[in-house]
Amino acid sequence: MAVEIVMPKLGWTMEEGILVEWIKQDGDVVQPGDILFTVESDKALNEVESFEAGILRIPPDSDAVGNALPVGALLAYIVQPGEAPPFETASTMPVGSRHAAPEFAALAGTRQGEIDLTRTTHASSLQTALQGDLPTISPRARRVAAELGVDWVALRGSGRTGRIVERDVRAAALATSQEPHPPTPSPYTERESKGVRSGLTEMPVAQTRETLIEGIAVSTQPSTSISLTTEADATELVSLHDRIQAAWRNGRQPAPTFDDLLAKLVTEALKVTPLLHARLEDGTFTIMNLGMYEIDAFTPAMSVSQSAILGIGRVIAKQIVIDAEKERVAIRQMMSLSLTCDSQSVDVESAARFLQIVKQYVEQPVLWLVNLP
Amino acid sequence: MRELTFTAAAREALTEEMARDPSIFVVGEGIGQRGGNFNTTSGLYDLYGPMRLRDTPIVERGFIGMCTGAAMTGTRPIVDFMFVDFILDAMGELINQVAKIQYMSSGRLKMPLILRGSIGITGASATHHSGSYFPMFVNIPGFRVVVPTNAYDAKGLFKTALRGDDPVIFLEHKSLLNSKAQVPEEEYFIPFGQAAVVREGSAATVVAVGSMVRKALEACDALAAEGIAIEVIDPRTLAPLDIPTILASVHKTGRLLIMDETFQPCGIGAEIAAQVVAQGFDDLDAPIMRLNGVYTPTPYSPPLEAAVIPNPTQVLQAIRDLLAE
Repeated sequence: MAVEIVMPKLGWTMEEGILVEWIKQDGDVVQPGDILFTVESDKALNEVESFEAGILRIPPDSDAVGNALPVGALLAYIVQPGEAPPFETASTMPVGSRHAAPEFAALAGTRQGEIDLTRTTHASSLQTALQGDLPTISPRARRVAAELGVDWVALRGSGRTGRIVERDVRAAALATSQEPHPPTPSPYTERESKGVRSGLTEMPVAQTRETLIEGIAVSTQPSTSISLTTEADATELVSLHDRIQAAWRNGRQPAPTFDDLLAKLVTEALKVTPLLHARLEDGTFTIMNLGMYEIDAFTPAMSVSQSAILGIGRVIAKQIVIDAEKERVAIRQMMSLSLTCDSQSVDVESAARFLQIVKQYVEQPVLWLVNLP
Repeated sequence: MRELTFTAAAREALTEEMARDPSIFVVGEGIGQRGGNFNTTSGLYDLYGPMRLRDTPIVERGFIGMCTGAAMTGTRPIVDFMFVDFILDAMGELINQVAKIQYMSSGRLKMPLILRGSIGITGASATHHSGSYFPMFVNIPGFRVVVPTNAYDAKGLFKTALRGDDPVIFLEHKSLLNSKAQVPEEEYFIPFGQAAVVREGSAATVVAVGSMVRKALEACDALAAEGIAIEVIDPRTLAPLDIPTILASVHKTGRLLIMDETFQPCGIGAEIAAQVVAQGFDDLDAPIMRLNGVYTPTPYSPPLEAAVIPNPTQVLQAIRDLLAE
């Protein structure tokens, strides 16, 4: 049976490649391991081996060489001695253009039941086109796709023959889950709707917004500030917030927001790192949360009158390695923390220690509830 | 804990059971004063004497027939074949009588007959002393087929065989006979039909039979260094075969490779693959693969002999191929 030679997928992200030249020619006998052709993709030249033994048959009308072709595009066949390749036995679509087969395009543009009957002479090639365009998928991947609601027809498989396997489906599901969502009821939007200036949570000793802007404007020497960034697992904090919201139904005051919790835990962290709040009396510490703008991480600009500013990125579900040795991963709510400090009033080690404590407090809220560093 | 060789552990099981049950006796060539070609009975002649350790002439069909009759009368014969290849001379008795007598007698007759012998390709034993044949016996209803792969299992499974009422084919791979494992002093039994997960992993499942268990584990050590965790299952008994344990593993990993030194066609790998496809189709993320010895009579020449059994490079490559599917 003729084996199809197609544009291979040579890298995780490869979607098309240029067939540079045929190393074996039409009619050549090939063995497994023989180099069939070279492909340029992602700025690299790759040699493509044969997995099969037989005779290489390249369609005479192929215009594949020199053209960018999608992964999976049909290039040639390997047949057995005495066997005719499909392009000599039946009408088929042009090699190299599987994804743009006119019959297929015609079908795609036709509503069900309106297929032009004059095309039935091409039924076999249409069949080929349809089968060719539907990727193969492992039973397990098909099951997982159904469980996760992933439409696998459009996926590209990473299996040896281009087969869609479980990891492809899971990667697609993860990518979908990380797409930006429209604003959902969150502490941030809730604050906004109540007229509270969003994004900035100020300490009780905060200065006015005007002073802040003024301060940032005159913060001219980047050499006087240092920035430290880390990522914290906010799953516990999100859960704590959710529980507070759920338990607050009968409270007269609005429930503490997520930003309120951050302000509280940062205050507690400042208590155990005195270097950072040496000049606390003047409103020297600011928390800036840009999570609702879908900002992952940023380096906040610091006012000259301040010691430090903590930038909070958005909380987003990520796949995190929780045990490298046992190869265990988990979906956790992650949040970036960026601390910018005045390097003249705060040494980098103290700043790092402070950020570490904030990270610990975010990850284990129980620590600041009981004031344990 | 003390360590024993495979042979010593199996012999200890036999010694204990012969002391406990006077109806157990051993029949075979050179198993009396000589103690067996592979030391399967060494020391037992002095303990239990010539009535219970019966040397025979080279006539397998004859003494199998006699032992079949003896088992029907309620004794527990053990036929020690030295090389299991010699069992082929008695296939008529074995398949038509031994395997069927309980069925034919509606269970009124028992057949507690143990047929033990060495299997496997090693040490230039040549084609008449290198067979394994267990797929043939698995194909026959009535036999229990046991393939231990270490000293601990050898003792526990042999004890179970010696307490049962069914005919048991007990197969001991020659390359494992001197391998050592920890064996407790206290008595224990390993039930038939209970596979051992000898290594846990998540990337793929390898079911390894007989001598392939050790080779699979060595390959998995190399892969573990690359962060690839392979699960290895030793079925221990091929009839009954513990399919649920294999299915549970494939449910976890999605990939299955069956390694067996014996020939591929109609082998145990084909049986496992068919059952997993039937019952675990939706768990499969890749085609089921097999790695077997070469389908040919076993050569005597050591280099040629080495070429017909899966070597470490092939074992490693087979797992890599499965992962790449």
